[in-house]
Amino acid sequence: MNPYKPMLAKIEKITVETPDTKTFKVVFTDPEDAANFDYKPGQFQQVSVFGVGECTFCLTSSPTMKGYIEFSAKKVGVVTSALHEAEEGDIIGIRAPLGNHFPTDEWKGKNLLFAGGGIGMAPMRSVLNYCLAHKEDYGKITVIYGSRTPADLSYKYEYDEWRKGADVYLTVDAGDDSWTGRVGHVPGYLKELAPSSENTVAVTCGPPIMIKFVLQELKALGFEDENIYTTLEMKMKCGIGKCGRCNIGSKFVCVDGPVFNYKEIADLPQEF
Amino acid sequence: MTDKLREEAKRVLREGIAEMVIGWAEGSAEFKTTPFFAFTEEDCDRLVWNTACVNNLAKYLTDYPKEKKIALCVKPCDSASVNVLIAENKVLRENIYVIGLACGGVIDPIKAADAGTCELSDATAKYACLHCVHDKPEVADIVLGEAERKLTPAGEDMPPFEERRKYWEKEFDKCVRCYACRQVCPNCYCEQCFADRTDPKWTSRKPTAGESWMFHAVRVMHMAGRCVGCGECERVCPKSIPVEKLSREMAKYVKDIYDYTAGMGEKPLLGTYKDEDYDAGVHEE
Amino acid sequence: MKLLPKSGVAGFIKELSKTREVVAPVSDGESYAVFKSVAPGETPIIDGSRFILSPRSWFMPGYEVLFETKDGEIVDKTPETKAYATIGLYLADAHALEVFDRVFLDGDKPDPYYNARRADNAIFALVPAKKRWSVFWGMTGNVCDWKKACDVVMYDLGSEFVMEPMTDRGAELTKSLADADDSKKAAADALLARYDEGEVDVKAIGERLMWDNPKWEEVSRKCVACGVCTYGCPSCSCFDMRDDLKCGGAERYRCLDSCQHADFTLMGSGYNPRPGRMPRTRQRLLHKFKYQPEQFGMIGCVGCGRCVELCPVGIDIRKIVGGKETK
Repeated sequence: MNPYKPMLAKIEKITVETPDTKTFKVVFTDPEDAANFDYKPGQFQQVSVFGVGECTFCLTSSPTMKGYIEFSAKKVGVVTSALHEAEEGDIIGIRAPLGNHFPTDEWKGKNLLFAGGGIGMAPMRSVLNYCLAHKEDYGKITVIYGSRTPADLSYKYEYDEWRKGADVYLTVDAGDDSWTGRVGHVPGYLKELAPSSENTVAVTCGPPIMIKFVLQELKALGFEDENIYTTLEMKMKCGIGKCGRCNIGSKFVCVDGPVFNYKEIADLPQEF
Repeated sequence: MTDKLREEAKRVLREGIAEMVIGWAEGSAEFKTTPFFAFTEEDCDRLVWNTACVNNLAKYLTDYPKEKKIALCVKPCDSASVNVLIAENKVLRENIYVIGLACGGVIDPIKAADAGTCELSDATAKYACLHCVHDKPEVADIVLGEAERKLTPAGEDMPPFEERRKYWEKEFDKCVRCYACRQVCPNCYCEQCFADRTDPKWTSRKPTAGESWMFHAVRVMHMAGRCVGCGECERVCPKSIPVEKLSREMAKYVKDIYDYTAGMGEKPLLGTYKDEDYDAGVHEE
Repeated sequence: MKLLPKSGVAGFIKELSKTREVVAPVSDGESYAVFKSVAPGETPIIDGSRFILSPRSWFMPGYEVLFETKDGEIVDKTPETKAYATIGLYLADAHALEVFDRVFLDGDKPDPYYNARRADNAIFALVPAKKRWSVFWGMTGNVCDWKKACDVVMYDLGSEFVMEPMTDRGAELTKSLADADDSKKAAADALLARYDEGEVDVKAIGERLMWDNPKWEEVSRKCVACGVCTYGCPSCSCFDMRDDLKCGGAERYRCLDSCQHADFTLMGSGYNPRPGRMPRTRQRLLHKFKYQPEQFGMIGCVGCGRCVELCPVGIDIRKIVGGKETK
């Protein structure tokens, strides 16, 4: 097996999430690839636009969604720009699944708190949908999700589904004429809602500044470092621990991560 | 000479002429020195001047804000680099105190290690020194010492016109595109090099002769009238590609066509226009 | 142990090349010696007379196509596994291949491209007669242990090589040579002893290289971020993967890359976790002397001294790592 060789996949559906983010639903063109493919929530993939390059995305779909995978791409660089120009039916390359995953088995019997901001919802959506599909294994599930504006909220079409199994709280930094919900930052909302830390695991993904303040609030609520999870982001190329780019201390984010709890993160050199 | 240099450096710091003196200090071997930043008079006792002082220290000037008062030790070629930076308004003349050192050539540390001696000779000299065009520091507030040029000047080394393609194809095939030649150059200071841009992609990173040709050709064009021939690019190349040959050829054209020598003018070549300038290709006859 | 007079090297390589492709340092006259497949009649430079670039350029070429796309299919470009013999790399370089093996071959996703060049490659490692000023093998590991990384160890005694086979393959390939007598063996041992500096305390070195040491600022001040230390290094393995369009499709290639470059960790968003020269200098040192020992129990630096010689600003890794630490 050549770990550098991607599987071919067809873009089946493109959903415009926000002005700069699209979600791509893809299926493997080779039925054998499709049959052998399995993954866990939190794992990531390398997506190739042939002739342009490769880029890292988390699998935002959940393993419980069978027959396809999804990823969300914010338009920032060369590869993501090429993806944003792609059309349904186009062929791309996928190397997946890569990296570790959220320890959903260890979390069984616990309450779950998700605090996300902006595109940070992408990795959390996978584990959230997975846990909702196995609702009987977990306690109370709470979701706090915020973005800069109402237009920047992703996965709007799934909120009703989430609400069937979880308490969903939305907030935006700045509302618009149609926004009737809360206005404010995620950490502030977290402080206000003050969910109990007892028997609870927190997952937070989003912009670094949001994570910084969410962490402060979580600590104030009594969450222990080992019960707070996040996904780290580093530039990656090979995705299999060889090219050396995502090296932080003796860890490689692509192999030992991207999912870390804050106890593990505290032991790393603080350069990520 | 080293004593005189130390004395001058101490004076510069003591009298507040500069906040730091950039010079050379002893390295790990007798044929190796290392750039050194002296902030105190005690630091100045580590400064040295000898034939192993190969670095062009003008490189460090653009690391600091223009307002900073810096004293810089220079050889004649380094002084020309400083002059290019002044002409291009990257450093302010009044904030740079230039300690010029008369120089008869320096050694290439790797050649010296191969030869097992740090005696300056045609065999151990930095290759650019065999082509040196700079007799004395062009820009200097003080010039220390006297030097005699004993090296045998190297002659024309660019292969004849018909053989050049083959020659450079072979050389560029070695290139790994580490861009060390660009990094070490005192006058390559673009914040983002064209070679690093991904959008638009001017050149691919692919280290094949063709793509590397593109990189080196553009670099030489960008250095037209700016390369002073210090040869640091050639010395640093981990594949020992004689990249300086291209710049030297370019310098020849610049001299022939515009009668301009890099680092010797008050204005940059490409920033000035004279009525009699060569303009083939601009105005059709 | 066997003997190979220097006058017999050409004949030995000719014989060897009947069964294996011979890779050795050669030079075109002007430049440093580079590892390449030896063409018939070409004489490799194994007498220490010239600066030899690391064999990394052969084991991990500067440009290697991983795959191409053609007519909507992916064409795998993994090279065929061939029988090779690599001659004239330093004993430290042979040890560097052990570091490469940890990076490229360990784990559940081994690298097929590297493996094709490594799987059947007889390693003839050199202990040079003259210890270059920059060499510090003994500071980074136990040089006697490194012999295990070779098929044959070649001790340069001036006019001849003492050849010590370390594997069955090595014994087979040197069986036609004359035996070395005890005095030669003793001379060979004495030569290696000159490179040995006693046992190395990896942990103590790691503890000395503190991440938040203010010294890093001073060390990196003169660095010009040229990355030559990493390009010259036999154990640096970082690479880049890029795409290019070509006639009828695209290709993905890998090329060397360096942690000293600004865009090494620059993310699409514009954020760079290692934004200046200081964190990059620190990363190179710590990766070799702290992170890799933590990862697989081996210092990533092999003490070949190439970075010490090549560094245009005279940064000496030995001075940063500090004095030899013996148990």
